[in-house]
Amino acid sequence: MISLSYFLVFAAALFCIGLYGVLARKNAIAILMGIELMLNAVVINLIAFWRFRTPEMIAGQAFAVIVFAVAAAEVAVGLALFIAVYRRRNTIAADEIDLLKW
Amino acid sequence: MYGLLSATFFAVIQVVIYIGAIAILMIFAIMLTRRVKQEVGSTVNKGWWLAGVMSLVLFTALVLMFSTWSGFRTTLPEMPADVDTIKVLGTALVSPNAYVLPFEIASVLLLAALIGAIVVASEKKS
Amino acid sequence: METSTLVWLLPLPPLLAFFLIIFLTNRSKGLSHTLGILSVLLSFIGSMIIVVKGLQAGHLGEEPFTSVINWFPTGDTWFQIGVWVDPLTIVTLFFVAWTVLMIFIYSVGYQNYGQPAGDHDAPGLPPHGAMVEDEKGHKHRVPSIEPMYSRFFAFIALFAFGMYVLVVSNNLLTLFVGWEIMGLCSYLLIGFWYAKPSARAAAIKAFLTTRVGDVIMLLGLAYLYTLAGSLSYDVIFSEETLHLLTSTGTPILGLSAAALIGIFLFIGTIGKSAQWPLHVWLPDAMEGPTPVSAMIHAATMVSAGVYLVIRVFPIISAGMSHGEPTITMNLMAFIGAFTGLFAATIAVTQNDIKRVLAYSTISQLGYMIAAIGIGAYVAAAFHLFTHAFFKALLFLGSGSVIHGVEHGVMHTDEHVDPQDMFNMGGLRKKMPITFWTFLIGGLALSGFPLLTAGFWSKDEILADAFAHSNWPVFIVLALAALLTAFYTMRQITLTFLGEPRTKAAEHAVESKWTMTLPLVGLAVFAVAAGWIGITNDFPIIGGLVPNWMHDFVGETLAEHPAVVRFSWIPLITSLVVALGGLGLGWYVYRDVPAGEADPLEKPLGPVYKLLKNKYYFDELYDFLFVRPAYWISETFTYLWLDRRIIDGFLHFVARITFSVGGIFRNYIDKPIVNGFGDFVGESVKRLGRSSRFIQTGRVQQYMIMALIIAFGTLFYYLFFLSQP
Repeated sequence: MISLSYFLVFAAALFCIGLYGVLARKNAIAILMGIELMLNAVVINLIAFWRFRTPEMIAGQAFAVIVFAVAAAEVAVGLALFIAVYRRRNTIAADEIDLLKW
Repeated sequence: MYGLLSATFFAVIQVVIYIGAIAILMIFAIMLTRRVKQEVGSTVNKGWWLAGVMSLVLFTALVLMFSTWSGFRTTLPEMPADVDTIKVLGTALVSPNAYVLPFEIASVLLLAALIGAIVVASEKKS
Repeated sequence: METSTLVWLLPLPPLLAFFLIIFLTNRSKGLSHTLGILSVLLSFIGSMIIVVKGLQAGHLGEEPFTSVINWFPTGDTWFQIGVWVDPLTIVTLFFVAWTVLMIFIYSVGYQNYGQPAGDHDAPGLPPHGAMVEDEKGHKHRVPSIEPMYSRFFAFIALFAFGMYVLVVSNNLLTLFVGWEIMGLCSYLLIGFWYAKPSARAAAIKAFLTTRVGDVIMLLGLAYLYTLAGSLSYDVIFSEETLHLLTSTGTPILGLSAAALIGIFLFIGTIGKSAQWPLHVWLPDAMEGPTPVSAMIHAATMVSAGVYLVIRVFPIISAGMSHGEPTITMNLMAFIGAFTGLFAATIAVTQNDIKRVLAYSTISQLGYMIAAIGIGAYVAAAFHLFTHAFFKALLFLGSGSVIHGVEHGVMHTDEHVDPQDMFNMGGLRKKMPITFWTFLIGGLALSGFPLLTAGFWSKDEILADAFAHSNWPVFIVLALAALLTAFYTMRQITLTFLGEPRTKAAEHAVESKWTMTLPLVGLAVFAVAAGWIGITNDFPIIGGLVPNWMHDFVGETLAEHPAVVRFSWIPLITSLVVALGGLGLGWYVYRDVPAGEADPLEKPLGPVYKLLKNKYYFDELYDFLFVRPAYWISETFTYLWLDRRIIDGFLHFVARITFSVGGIFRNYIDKPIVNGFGDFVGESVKRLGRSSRFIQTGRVQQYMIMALIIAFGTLFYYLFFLSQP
């Protein structure tokens, strides 16, 4: 049978892959994709816990819906920001945008 | 996987949102922010190994943590039959003594994000 | 008002006149002399009132007019000062008031009041005359008014104040105050024509010489005060104090305190009254205007010295046993007699008319001091009294003569010294009043018998000396009297008798009434003043007029002095020396033509030269005192001590301070203090520079940092803190 552990490990792995993407990729859009991955991992975790622990309550699903909504909104704003930054600096590599450096 | 979890709604949502909207957005963004005739540098930045190390460390830490937790190996419990999960979810999202408030706020948030994105990304007409 | 209150007021009018002239009427000559004469006139009237009152009061010696006030606190008690009028004071007041008034009136004429201002006259130099044109267009010089006219009257007013203070004071301290004021005025007036170097030098000489005497006198006063506790006459002349003074011994030469104090006070007199060895200032003091010479150096200031010793006679004579004189008295007799003869010998060879009179003054003061030295209290006071009159008369007369000859000098433009007697002659025809008054004065000085005051007072001293069998003093004083008569007649003969020796003398003119009136006034006294002291058993006329002087003044002493019995020998001696001297003087000098030397020069030979140069005392003092003083001042003190040692030390200290300062600055201040400050700033900068690399601006690096730290903390908490 599929136990909770599989889902949790899967979610943790997704999260870590997403973290690696955020920390190691140069392209800003790749970073954003990594963030999405992390959010997805979170939702999977949420749903898994709901199904295995309290399937009769609907709170878990409601929560997950909200998270999806937030993720989507955040992606939209993030991409808009990248476009604006690109217009200014003509680059979207994260390590070239270092205006706040000393 | 969502299907496995009897969360059918989410399976659909995942497809719709991610593929239909977010991925398209990303493609558009990549198109708009592409540098013309640029040599391909490395796609990862200088400290990628550190990031990899951190991720692995986090992964092992999480797994270790989970394995010590008692509820780790529970099996799938039975879902109560004849419950239409989607209907219940829908009712819960709009009923005042359930989750209508977060629902509304989420919609406001989406509106704000929409407007914000448009404003930020618009070309300045100087 | 009460007599003692009036006595307080006597010194004040001249003081007031001094201040008023200085501050207000300096520019107006007429106002200044009016103020001056008015003030001494007031004091004169006051003095005469006091004299009359004193004569009316009986037993003035035992109950003098006196009044005291508290001056300053000394411990439990107050130091009191006040006024004191006893017979000696009355006598002194009389002659001081008269002579001062006469001299003030004389000064108006002497300083040429009413004459035009001179052509080249400047303050500080004697007036040189002005060219005037008369109606015919003749131009000739006339004497010009003294430019510093008001200043003169201010100073002599101050001087009169000093003298009055001295005379009426009741204690030795205010007497000393008056003494010093007069010393100051003497300096100011001798150096009146301050632009003349000789006058300046003479003023300094006078002041310093009398200072020597004054310092020692002050020592005596201090010692007296320490022993007696007071300086008032009623205390120091009382029986107990005198006994204390004679019984206290001093470590100096085994003298008693009374003797030592007496000697010290006497040394003050030696300075003030120009006795040997401090006589050198008086002849040079003739640089001052003649009224000054008359007042200060004949009638009043030098008399103050004699007044002092007469006043403190009780202390000087304390310890006399059986009429045997004390050491102080012997010393005084010696110095007085010696000076009398010494000065008389010098006077014989002097050519300047005022110098002769100066040495004559020194000689006569010696007489008075010798008189005290032999115990002739009344005789000394008597001679003081008469001498003031005829000496002032003689000086004023000489001033009149000088004025007359100066007039002649200006008229004829001849450049002769108007004061040299060998340029005069025959002035009796040109200046009769001056001649007759001068003659009277000269005869009085010589002791012309019976008719002149000098005879009575001198005779009294000689008689006293004889009566005490004091042969040395008697013979010396008789010799001095002979010489006095000789040089006086020499002076009169050369100046007035015979024929004029220069054209200037031919054109001499009698002086104005302001000058001749005082001469006449003083001449009256020169004749009559002697008649108050005729000895009672004088042949024929003795007893007609009581010996008022002896009775009156004798009261001042606690023990009435014994009356000197008349004896023929002193009388014969004084007649012989007076008449003989006069005759000799006339005989030797009656025919000296113009341009010839002194007839005594050849016979006396080298002695003449010695006398003319005043026994070379001035040169001796210059060598002994003046040159070493200059050396000490210029070389020793100034160069060595002041410049080299003191300044050198100061420069050295300054250099050390600089180097210490430099060391502090360069080795402590800059490296440590500045360095520390710089170090702090520099290290912060370096720290900042080295740690700013953390801020790369790259978000991902920040996130990695955050994660690492978050994990670290988490692990720490989980693994280390969860362990029990």
